Amino acid sequence: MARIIALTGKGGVGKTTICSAFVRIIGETYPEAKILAIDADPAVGLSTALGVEVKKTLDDIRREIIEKAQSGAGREAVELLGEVRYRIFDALVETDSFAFLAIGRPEGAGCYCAVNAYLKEVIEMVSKDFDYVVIDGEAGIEQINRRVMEKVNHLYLISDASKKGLQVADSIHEVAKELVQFEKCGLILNRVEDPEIVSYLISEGRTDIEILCVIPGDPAHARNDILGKSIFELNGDAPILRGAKEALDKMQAE
Amino acid sequence: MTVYDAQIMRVRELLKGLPFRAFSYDAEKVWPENTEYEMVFQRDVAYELGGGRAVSANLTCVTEDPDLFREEQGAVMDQIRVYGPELQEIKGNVSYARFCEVLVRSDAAEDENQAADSQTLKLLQDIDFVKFHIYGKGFMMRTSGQSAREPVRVSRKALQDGISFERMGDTFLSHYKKNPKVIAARVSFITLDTFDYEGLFTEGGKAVEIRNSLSKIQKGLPTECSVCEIREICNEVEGLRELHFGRKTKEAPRVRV
Repeated sequence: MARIIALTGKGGVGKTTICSAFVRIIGETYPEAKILAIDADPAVGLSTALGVEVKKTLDDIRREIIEKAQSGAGREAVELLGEVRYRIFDALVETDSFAFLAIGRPEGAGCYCAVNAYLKEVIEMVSKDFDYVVIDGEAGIEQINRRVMEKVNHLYLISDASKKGLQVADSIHEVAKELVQFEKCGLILNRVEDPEIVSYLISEGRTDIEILCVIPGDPAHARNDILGKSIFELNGDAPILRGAKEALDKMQAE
Repeated sequence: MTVYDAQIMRVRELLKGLPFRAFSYDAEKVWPENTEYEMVFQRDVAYELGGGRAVSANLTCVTEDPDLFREEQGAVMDQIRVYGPELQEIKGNVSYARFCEVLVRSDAAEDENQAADSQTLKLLQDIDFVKFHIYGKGFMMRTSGQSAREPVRVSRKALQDGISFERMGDTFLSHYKKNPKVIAARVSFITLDTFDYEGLFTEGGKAVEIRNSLSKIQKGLPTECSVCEIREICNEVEGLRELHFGRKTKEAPRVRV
């Protein structure tokens, strides 16, 4: 059974970058491991961070299957499941070190309930084929609320040092304690220029989540981002990679 | 039940004159399976049947007519046919088709407690849906539930371990044999360049249409053909109209286009 790792937090705190760093580090540490990276954030971005091109998303497949089923072709449950398995490969991007799936976003305005429900089913279905499933979750609390990530081994909350970022992380943590079956949960503080600030945050009682690591801002990574380069093009000793490794090691330690 | 008989004849016409190797069923040679669907990753794939620019198709037909088996084999018996190179001989992605013909008992769709159309549909589904439950080790079938496509990823490890069409045929046959209504089956694997894959794909699409029509009949359709939504397929497929009107008799009118 796969080890499921999910990342969530406020938007714009570097969640996607840390997620891509996790994929790179796990792949380098365990070259034989089968890793699935899921971009569950409708805002998209993990594909660029991982340097893969998305041709189809889960939502594209969901709509195609519904259209076909409505037209009368293959409506038995086993046929629909077969169709999902058949089409999932159209959306799955495979590289030598990992596979990638993007949730996509429904066309036009509207709610994401259907695609989130579908995502949950797909995560359950495909995760057994992999050793690691790394999910870049949607910013905020929606996917936790909808139990898209119902069973997660390790839940990583990402925040910067801002009060708002930590409040969102705390809120997600509180809801997750009720709705998500997770083994461990920890906080990554990203883009923190002054390490002293951490003592201040703790003394102020801004968060009671275990802090796994503190990652400073990294001009090299910022440059990478601007140039649209992937995490694999970043120097191996970049702060974001060192921090992500520290967080992974702490969570995986018994 | 005759709904697939015309299709069997048409696909046999597509295969006519093509060279093949034939094997009898051997329970000892059944290729081992996983307990559930398992993904073969790209990095472990030797080649994909029907992958890349190549095409794939599958069709499973059910018949009650033993003469259809005797006609080609001389006797009613299980058989595996390989048209084209064996798995061990294939070097890269090739076009691929699987055609299964399954002979069932003449009373297979007769149950006093159920309508003929429901029994026929259930029988066809039980036999065709076997394809969704075959998990050969290193033979990852991506079977579409809505079309007749069926690309297969074959792993390097499976090739090292000796996988072959012959052994996968034994696996298919072992599944069919679990159904007490099945008398015999013939499984054909095709990878010849010269085969009309799109022809078989079209027949596969018709098989899906036949099942969908039976499903619609089961849910209730008008008995006036001129206003019925499945009249086209009903006109084409021998036996469908009989099932619709609940007349499962040899004397009932048959229309073949």
